[in-house]
Amino acid sequence: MSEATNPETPLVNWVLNGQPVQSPAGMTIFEAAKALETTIPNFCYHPGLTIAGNCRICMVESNRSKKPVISCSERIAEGLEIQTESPMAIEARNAVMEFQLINHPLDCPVCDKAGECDLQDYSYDHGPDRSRFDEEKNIRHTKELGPTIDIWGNRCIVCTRCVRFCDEISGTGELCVVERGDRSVVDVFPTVPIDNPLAGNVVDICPVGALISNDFKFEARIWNMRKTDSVCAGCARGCNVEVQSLDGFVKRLVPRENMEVNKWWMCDEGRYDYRYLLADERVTACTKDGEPVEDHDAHETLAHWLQDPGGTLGILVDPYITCEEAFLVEQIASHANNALVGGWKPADGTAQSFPGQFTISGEKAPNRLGVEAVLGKLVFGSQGHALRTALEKGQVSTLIVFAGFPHPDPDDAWVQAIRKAKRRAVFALQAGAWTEGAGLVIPGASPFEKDGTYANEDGRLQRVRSFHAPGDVEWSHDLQRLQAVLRIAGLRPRSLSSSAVFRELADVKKPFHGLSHSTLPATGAPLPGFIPLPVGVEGGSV
Amino acid sequence: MIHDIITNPYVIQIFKAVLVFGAVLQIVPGLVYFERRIAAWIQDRVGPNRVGPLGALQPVADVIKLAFKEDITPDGADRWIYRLAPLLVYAPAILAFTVIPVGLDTQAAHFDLGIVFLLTVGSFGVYGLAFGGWASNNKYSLIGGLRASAQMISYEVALGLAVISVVMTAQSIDLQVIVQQQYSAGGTLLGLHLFGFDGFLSWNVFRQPLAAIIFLIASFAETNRLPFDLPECEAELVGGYHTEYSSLKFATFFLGEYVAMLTMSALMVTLFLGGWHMPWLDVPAVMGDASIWTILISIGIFTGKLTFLLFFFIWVRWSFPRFRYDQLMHLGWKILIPLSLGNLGLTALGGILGWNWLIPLPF
Amino acid sequence: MAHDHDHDHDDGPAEPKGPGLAERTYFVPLIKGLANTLHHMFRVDANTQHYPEQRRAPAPGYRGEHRLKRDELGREKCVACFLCSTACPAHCIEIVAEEAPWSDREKRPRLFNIDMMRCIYCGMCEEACPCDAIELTPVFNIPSRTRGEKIYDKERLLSN
Repeated sequence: MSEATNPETPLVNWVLNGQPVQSPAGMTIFEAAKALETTIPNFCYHPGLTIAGNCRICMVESNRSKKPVISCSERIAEGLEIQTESPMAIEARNAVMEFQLINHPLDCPVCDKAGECDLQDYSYDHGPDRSRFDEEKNIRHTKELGPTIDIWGNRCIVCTRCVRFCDEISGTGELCVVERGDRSVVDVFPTVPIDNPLAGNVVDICPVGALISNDFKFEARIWNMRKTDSVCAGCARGCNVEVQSLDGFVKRLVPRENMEVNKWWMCDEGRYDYRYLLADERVTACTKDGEPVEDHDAHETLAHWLQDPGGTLGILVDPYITCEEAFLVEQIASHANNALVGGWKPADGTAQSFPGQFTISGEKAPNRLGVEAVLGKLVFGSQGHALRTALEKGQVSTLIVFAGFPHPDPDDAWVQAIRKAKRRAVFALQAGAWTEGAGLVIPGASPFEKDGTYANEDGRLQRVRSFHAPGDVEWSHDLQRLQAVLRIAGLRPRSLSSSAVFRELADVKKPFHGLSHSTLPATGAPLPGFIPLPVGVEGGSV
Repeated sequence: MIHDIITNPYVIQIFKAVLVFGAVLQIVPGLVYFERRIAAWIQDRVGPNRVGPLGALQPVADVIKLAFKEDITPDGADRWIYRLAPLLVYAPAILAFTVIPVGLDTQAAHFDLGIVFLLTVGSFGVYGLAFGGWASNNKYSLIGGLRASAQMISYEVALGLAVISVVMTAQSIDLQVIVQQQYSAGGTLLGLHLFGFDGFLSWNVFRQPLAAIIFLIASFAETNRLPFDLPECEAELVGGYHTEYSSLKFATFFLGEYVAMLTMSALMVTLFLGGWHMPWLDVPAVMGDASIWTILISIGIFTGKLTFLLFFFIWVRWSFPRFRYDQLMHLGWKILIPLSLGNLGLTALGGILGWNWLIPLPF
Repeated sequence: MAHDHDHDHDDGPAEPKGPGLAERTYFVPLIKGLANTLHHMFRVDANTQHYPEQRRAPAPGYRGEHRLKRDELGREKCVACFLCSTACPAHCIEIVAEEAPWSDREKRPRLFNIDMMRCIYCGMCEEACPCDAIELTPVFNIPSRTRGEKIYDKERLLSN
């Protein structure tokens, strides 16, 4: 893989399906063909794992061999001629598929993999329409491998992707193949369940429905779900995820490939952390002095507060707001006579890194850098201190708090400080210490319901999208609410989409120059020229 | 005392008015029932046969259903005109009926100029339709109302000219006189009362056949019945001018249309079919002029003729398809009006030349 | 061949004759039409079936109300694979799956609702079912007093 991107690698002339082509030396036939947009079926091959070559489905015809060769492990060479769709190659694949299906239970109707199952897809192309196997199918174990992972052994084709993952990526090595021949199946060692922080990935890489996530089991069929590309907000790593939802409920998160951020993986902490969307404490309606009010009334009240803050206006942001929301915060602050903007961020956890060059960031918030790029590098540092000091002295008369964190972690000093503000409006995801006694509570959107951009710990700007279908959204996200307030207050002419707000932001803020939502690649783009202050430096993040 | 009250002319007039009103109202449900039954028979169906004996109480059920429907006034409707429109359809139709002689000297109101009154009042119905279409604030209603007014005004010309032909023949605009005259007018051949001529071929339908046909066609258009029901054709206009009407307002519209049909049929009987006269038999002469039996029998005869005409209305409705609007206007302006004008001229000529206006003229 | 057609005269297309006066007045067709309807009016063989008293047997394969089948142990055959709801063009089938408590079966429907008001009775669910668990019965008279009654749940479908 890395060779493919190196321009100094010499090129090799070879022939693919009768077409003379050039590819960098050292690539396997499979990778080179994939780069040339010719796909070859594969089960055991995974770009992030070592080559095993045990499934044999990727066999192709070669001019250097009388028998078909496996393209995932054979490398290209000068003068090599490869046929991927020749009768020999197809016959070989058909034979492999028939072999794989001998003991397969064909329980697609109840299998949670159905719809995204490689075995299912290839059996449409290469599978026999009936079985010649008259004997009893063998039965292999169905059991829990760990707290989140089940194995349905009958479905296993022993490609060993999961075993290699545990060996190479998580480095924990819990899984192994036990038994031999047609009885071989994946299992854990006695008393050692698979419970590493990356365990959920083995479900994603399993090409069949053998490894099943407990969390998703029987929850939904794949084809019914709405799939939204977004970014995990669990830590500052910003893993690219696909949010899969059904009828407005998130059913599961799966990682998207992004070689610059998370490769093909994500951690279990982020993967299973979506239940807070339905938490009982979730704020679902605006309240004013504890009484439920219409959205419009709440927006109008806040707009009046902004028009007449009655003294110093304080705005407390968190690292969960998007860059676009931060930009609106700055607009509010710049229109006020006397405004203090400060930031608060949750306590750092422990960073973890894994042999497979995958890391979990210790900073447990998704967008500190993005907020700093918009509101200034000191917003979580000395500006935050200044705001807190002013609050503690009772100098702030109107305070707007953004409390969009999924797991409220009340910082006592801050909680005590914000209560000293004369009036307080809170954009809150969940009710708790931050909303207690607040004059105005406005429902906030979770990171999966926001529309905008986050910058991860490397300063890579990535797009987040709401998983709600347009029109299904029960509450508008913070960006729309803020714009509604600003429109009533006369600070903005009308409400715009997040893309339009970002365009304004890119015009004004230097780190965002030249960027736009439509040109932002699916893998994100680094913020050019933005160098955050290192953590711990005086005036930097605290 | 009681005798004084009964013989008081005002009391008698009120009684007559109530009687006409009540009678007409009672006829309409029956008419609706017969229309549905006959329609079903024509279409090889059964028709309403569940409510009451032979389904005869179906109209009652219909009325109850209508009365319990929600009475809707659309947003943006011109409220007062919207409420007024059904009454403007219904009232003229029932008012026109008052001058029809349904039997010997049996008339709610005896006018010397009965026909003029009838045509005048009858023309008012068009206001109801136009108002209903206008006030509903609905494009289909508006088009329906426009069509209704254009159609009724157009066919009123032909209808009026046909009536004038009859008036010229009868030399009177008093409906009683026209009825009497249809029996006695030259029903003799060489001074002999011959079978067939007496009291039958002397009907205006034989003396003015063209006028009768024109009147019949125009009356279909005047009452918005098929094949001329373009103002309310459901395929194009949902329900035409009464699209937005519901509950009793709709019922009033409905009632008005059937009463108009009744009035038109009664007028046709009076003008062309010898009114309450029995063919070949001079009932008043046999039973005595002032006898109550004479009156009852004459009313019965009138009712019989009326029933046949009403059946004809229904029969035609379920036999023929709807005209296109341009065909309707073509028929009205380019065919019926020239024809009726020609007929009028011929009648005038005959009057001058002293023709006897019997079909068997050569005899 | 030509001699066979000696008597044929190729006159070209017949000159369309304009309708005569009799036709343009529509007089005869009108009378004919009235006679036709009158004839029908006095026909006695109305084809109407008097429904509540006379009922006709549905044709074989008639697609009426649905039912869920049971296996020989009396358990629902359905394995909650969602194929019927996927095939349903009216989106009237709502399923929520759960783990089956039986050893020989993994999955079963916790909720199986069919919105009979939305259903178009096309029978695609029956065709899609891999377990032969749902079928359409010939029952066609399925009135109800409330809308709620028209949403059939699992118990209702199993008892059909």
